[in-house]
Amino acid sequence: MRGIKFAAAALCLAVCSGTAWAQEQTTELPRLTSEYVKDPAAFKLAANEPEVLVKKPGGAAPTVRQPEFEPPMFSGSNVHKYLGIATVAAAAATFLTHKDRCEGAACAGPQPPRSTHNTHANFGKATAVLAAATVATGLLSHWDDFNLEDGLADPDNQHVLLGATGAALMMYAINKSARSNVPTNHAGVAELGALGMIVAIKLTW
Amino acid sequence: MKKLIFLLMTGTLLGASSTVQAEESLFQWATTVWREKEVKPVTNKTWKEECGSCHLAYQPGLLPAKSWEKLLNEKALNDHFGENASLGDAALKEIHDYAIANAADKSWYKRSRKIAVATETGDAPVRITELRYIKRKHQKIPEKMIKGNPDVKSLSYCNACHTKAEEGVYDNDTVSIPNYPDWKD
Repeated sequence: MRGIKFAAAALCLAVCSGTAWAQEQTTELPRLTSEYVKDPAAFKLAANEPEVLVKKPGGAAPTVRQPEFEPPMFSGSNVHKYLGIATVAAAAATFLTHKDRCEGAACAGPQPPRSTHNTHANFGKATAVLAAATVATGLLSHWDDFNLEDGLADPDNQHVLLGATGAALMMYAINKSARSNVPTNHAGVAELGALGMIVAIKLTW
Repeated sequence: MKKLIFLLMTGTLLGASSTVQAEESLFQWATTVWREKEVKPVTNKTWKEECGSCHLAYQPGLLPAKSWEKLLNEKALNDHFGENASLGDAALKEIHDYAIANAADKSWYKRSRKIAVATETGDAPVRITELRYIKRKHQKIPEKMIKGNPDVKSLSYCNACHTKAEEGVYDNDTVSIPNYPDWKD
């Protein structure tokens, strides 16, 4: 059952990313004439009519007055942004819902029974899925922003490296804990991963 | 102890971003929640009036200080890409100082930081369209949509396609190429 839930969540996120990506790939699709009729200013622009051009003094090039343009609410870039924020929020919720208990071999005395279905564990799993989806949408919508020729000082390169490493660390820590029958040391790695993602977001915010 | 390690790591990681420099302090940049992803918008009235009377008042954060030094002097302005754009002494000084203070290598805005990194070495570029980063971002756009497009004509007319160029916003989501409204990168 758990596997099915995971698969369903991953599928939903993949569909979500795929839809955003597909929406951006409609480049050369034929458009209906009725689309033009809705926006007469576009006709005038296409015809280069002076009515929509603003003449500058002194013979300078005229600048084009754009018809009203509304940036899309739903784009690959936006989905990536929202998923990144959601990942950090889920990581914070995971951190806030943890209960301090002794982890590792050095613990003395009997430990309480281990639960992998409490709030902390569920937030952890959500964080892992969101982190994977964030990396996937980032690869799809910003693949051309990563250029090694710009070096490691480039903010986009830093964002990619820190973000992907952070996501990988969080997923490793969550996976390590989820697969263990006894409490494991995983908090430090997960926190480091979350920190990496936060810094990655800040670098390109 | 854990918190201390956390704070130390945060500081180290932020400090590791070697591209971020001066003007606004590291602390200010690190603590602001406002987005600084694009290029700092123009705030100087003289800059807006003088530069904007002939072309888009390009943000100073689109070129490094060494480029503005080359462009904003009396001799260079007498032949500003084939036009006489000479200015009075006071206006020139104000514009020059504004450009240097807000140049790409002095800005914390992400796109400016990218430009600063890309122009750190080598000759100072005098055209924004010569920047490797800018060239790369536009290389996939077919020529017919720029040079062959009567409403664009050249990459220099940023605001022909970047609908929020005057606010310093150049991201993909705000691009609308005249006569090709459905084109997406």
